[in-house]
Amino acid sequence: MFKLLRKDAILNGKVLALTYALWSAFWLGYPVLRPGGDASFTAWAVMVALPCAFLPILMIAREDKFKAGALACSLPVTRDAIASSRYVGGWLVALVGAAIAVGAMAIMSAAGMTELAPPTFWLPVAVVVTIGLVVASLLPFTLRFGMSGVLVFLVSAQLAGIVALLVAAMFGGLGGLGTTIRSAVKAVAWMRDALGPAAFSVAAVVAVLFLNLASYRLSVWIYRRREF
Amino acid sequence: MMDLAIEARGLRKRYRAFALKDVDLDVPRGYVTGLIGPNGAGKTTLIKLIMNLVRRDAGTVRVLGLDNVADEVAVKSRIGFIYDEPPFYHDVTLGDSARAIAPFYPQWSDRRFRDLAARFDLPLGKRFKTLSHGTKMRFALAVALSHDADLLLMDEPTAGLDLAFRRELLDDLTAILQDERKSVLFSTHITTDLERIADYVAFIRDGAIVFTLPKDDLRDRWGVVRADRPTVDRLPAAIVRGQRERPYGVEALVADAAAAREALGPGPVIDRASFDEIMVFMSREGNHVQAA
Repeated sequence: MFKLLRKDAILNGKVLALTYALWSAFWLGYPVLRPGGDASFTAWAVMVALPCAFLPILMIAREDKFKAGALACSLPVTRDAIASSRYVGGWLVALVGAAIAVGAMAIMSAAGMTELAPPTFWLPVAVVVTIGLVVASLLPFTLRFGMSGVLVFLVSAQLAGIVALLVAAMFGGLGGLGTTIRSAVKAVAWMRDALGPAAFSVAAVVAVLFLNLASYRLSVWIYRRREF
Repeated sequence: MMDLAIEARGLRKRYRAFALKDVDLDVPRGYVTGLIGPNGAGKTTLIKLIMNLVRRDAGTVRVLGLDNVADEVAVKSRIGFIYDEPPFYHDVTLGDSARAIAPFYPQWSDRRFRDLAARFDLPLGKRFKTLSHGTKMRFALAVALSHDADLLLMDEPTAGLDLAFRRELLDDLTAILQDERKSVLFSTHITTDLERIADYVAFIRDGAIVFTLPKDDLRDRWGVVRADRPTVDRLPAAIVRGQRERPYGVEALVADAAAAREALGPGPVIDRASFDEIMVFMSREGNHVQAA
């Protein structure tokens, strides 16, 4: 596992560093250039975590671009180990990206350079859940189909959304769909209130980890069958 | 019983438009075996099956005595694999690529890699994409040889190289192999590559191995009979491997030129069969070929 992570770090390190630098400049500049907004530090961190969660896909996309998938599979490692390294490496890359931006923003806030509302207890939970949802959803597609898998997933998700809206409009009005979404949000809020912030946070993180475990199992199954 | 580096039995792989059919392949240990056949015959698929880069539908592959799937890690640590298009990151330098790969191989020797890099004039500080195809192949060869692999698997290593570079690469390879007696399986559709370095020749056509023979047997025993139809028809069917009509008569590829001479007497012309001729006769594309 460590050898695979090291390999990916060497082969992708410069591109990742450049991406971190460019993205950080953009994210850090956004609240500075638009002062007076009512955004909170936590909301800003989620906004940052979302694109960071796509960074693992950048690495796999590069592998696809150079047709280098066969390189990893010709090394003396199992397919399962490669799939594991994609998850561990993916989480690391996403978390490091978010941590760099959040850390820099914390320094800027402390120096009075931004007007973001102070961070809350929910910041780390929100970042982990955001990254976890994206990684768990996208990695199986990416490992099997590469970049085209990501595109197919995103387009399919959009089409599914359009179909859901059309169906809702035709049969029950859009209010029905809105009610469903509001009910889901209310259910989550009810759980948060019932469990309390600490237990709810732990439950959310555990749920995301289980989702990633299921996603990983699927990825292993898929990756064993991938042909190069 | 021959000591084998690769032993494939009943290997099957079906694609929509192509199938590898019950392939049996023996690659002797310590020798160079050339896998030859026309384009689309199944050479790359067979090599990928040995490397477990594609999943087999049936059959077994033993590499250096180990199952290539059950013992995948142990098997791959003893293989040096070279693709026709080396799969390295284009924007990474050769030195960094080697640094990323080295830890996977317990037998990797930095000193040997540096020696090979110097011998092949590899610019380790340059990015992969800036190199010529020949230099890319040499880098792949240097990586494959730096971990003291017992078996080299090479898929069309000379494809796309000009004649001079191809010759240099094969000379480099031959010199290294002469010293170390590694086992090698390399696929090619260039017959002169076989003549330069192969000890054994395996011929594949339409997803099936037609024969695996020592190169010297092919060179010394096989022949081409050039005669008229009645004369060719007198050849024993068991030795005829293919025929084709020519403007001046008929050519027949025979697996035993001495037996053909005995059957036909001193009259007809019987030449040694070149690898090109064997390839043409045995290939689907051959003109009016009827393989026996």
